[in-house]
Amino acid sequence: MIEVKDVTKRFADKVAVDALSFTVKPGEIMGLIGQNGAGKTTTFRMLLDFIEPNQGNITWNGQVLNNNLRQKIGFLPEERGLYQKLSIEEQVLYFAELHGMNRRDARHDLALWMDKFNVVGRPTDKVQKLSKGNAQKVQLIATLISHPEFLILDEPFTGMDPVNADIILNEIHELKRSGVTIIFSSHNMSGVETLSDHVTMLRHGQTVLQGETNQIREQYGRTEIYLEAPQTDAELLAIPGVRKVEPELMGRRVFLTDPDVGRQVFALVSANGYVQAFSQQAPSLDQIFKQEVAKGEN
Amino acid sequence: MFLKQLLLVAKQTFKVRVKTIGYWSLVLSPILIAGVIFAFGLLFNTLSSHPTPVIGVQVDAGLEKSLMHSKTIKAKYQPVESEEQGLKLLHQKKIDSLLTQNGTTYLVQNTPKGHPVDADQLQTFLKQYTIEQKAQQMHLSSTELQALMAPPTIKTRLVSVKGESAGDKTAKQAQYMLTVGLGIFIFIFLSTYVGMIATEIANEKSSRIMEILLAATSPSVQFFGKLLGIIGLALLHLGLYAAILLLSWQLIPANNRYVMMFKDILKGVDLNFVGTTLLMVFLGIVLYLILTAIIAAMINDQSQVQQAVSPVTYLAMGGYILTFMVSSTSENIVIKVLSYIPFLSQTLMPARVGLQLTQPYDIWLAIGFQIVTIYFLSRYGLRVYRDNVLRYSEGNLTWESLKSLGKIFHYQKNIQA
Repeated sequence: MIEVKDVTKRFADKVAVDALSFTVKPGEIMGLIGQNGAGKTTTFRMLLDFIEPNQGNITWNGQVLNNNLRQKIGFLPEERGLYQKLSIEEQVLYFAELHGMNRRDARHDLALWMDKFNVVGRPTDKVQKLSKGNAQKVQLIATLISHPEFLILDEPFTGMDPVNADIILNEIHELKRSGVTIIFSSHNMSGVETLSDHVTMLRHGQTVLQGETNQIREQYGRTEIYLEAPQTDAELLAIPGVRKVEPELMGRRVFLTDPDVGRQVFALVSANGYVQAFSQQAPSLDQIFKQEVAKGEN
Repeated sequence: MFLKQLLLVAKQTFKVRVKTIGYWSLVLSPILIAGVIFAFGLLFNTLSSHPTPVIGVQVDAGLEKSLMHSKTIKAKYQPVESEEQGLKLLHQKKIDSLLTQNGTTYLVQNTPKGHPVDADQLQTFLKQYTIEQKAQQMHLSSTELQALMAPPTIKTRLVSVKGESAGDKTAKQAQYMLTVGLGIFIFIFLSTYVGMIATEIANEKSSRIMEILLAATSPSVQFFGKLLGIIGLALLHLGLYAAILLLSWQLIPANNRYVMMFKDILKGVDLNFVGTTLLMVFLGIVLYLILTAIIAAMINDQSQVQQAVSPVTYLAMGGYILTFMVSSTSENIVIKVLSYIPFLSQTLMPARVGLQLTQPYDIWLAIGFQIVTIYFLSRYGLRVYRDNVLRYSEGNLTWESLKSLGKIFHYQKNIQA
């Protein structure tokens, strides 16, 4: 279990992370969200013991990070880095050995991972010859090959096409099921929503939101309706409490000032006894994120 | 754990570099250059060598016989009956030179398009012949003649101001020459490996691989592992040169004039001097590599490598240039003090030892300073490395480097406090 207690990090006069606390248990995923410069990378660097907090402490199963524990960590940095002139095998095996893995086992597993992630190429191919997507997969293999117990993924979906993003998403789910403790950051809010059990949102180093993903959404109330119905936007906006109407997929999204207004909208659209789609929902994490960012700017 | 990872990083650094064409071109280029120079020399000699000259001789019978039996002059001789006949043969290019005699006066005439005899060799021979003739006239025996011609033996022996016997001038010169020669080698060697470790660290930092490496290991593993790997490459490089030298020693005949020349230089050098000098050089290289590793941690991208290593190279160059001043300003107090200072001592102290300007313990004192500096520089430099290796500063690299190196003393004060 990862425990971060009241951690603060200052760089000169600037507070990069202020009194951050959270706990992530084995088999849980925590999404760390926030704008660029919110303190996500600083948090990761403190978790990895690259930098020391000015205040507070970080423990893993009650222990401060040491060289033995470090070997059980898998880290995927935001800016991907591979030795361009080495072959896939040379560098994945090197990273695996640094994590204490036997070279022969690592070579055996590499073939399985390359197959699982559909990496186009052979283990002896140099990284500089790989496409961007394949290089990203190799980077992820290098992170996962040593079977880490604690995984830190900094923007794992950046630059991924939807197919590759799905491959990674499925793998993260599988790792969670196998009991790995996972912390990840992402600007892709739908990914965070799908994956995370918990979310911590940072703004200028301050924790502005924290808790289970669904609970956070419910805190904001069910103030949105996904609607597929023949009524015009004007008819919907005429109902007091309807803020705005925006097209979405096959229908529209109706934004309410109060969840109770949903009853009046439902009465209007179901007046003829049939409505194609009506789903009253809490705002998405993406909406909440934008709202919180806007609050910070104000 | 630490040791296992350390060896792994060192092995990886060594293995990756040793497989590159760049490393082998670095190791083999001096040998290739020497080979090319040798081949050109051989070609030049072959092209410029001309057939054995033919000398027409119109001299007394004794000289003619002596010339015919002489092995010192590379020439063929053709007796001519008169000077006129000789000149005719010279015009017809049937002979290359004509040697005529009038008492003890000799005349050598050459044709401009022929292959004339070596005038110096001929003159030496004629001088020797004339002396022998005169000795015969004076009824001197060959032993008496030899005694008359033998030059006096002059030996020089210097006594240092400290009152100790200090060997002869040849030994001093040989050891000083060896130090100066070694200085060039050290400078080139240092520049190469300083650049190599800087590139290695800058590559991992700028490509963000360092973050992945530090997630699995500690900064000390990376810092010392890289140093070990590069030192391994440098030792392999030196080992190969030593092996090539030994092999050449075995294969080239002992009477080869270059081998003899080299032996002549080494004759005046004592083994103790060679051993301590090599130790100082090795420690000097280690010091420079540590300093470069600390500075390289501040590099943001590959384009800054040259900027980062330049001050280190200038420092090494300073030590080398000062070595030339040791001979002319032997009692200069600044040179004396600098010869104990690590980063400069690896060339200055051996030069002073070579010129016998030191006490026997002086070189060991300088070696002691080097070892102490290596200990403190690696201990406190590691902290600077750890602080900077994941920091991407936008300031001036040289200024940032100086500021960070200044922190070494700050850490030291903190620890002592």
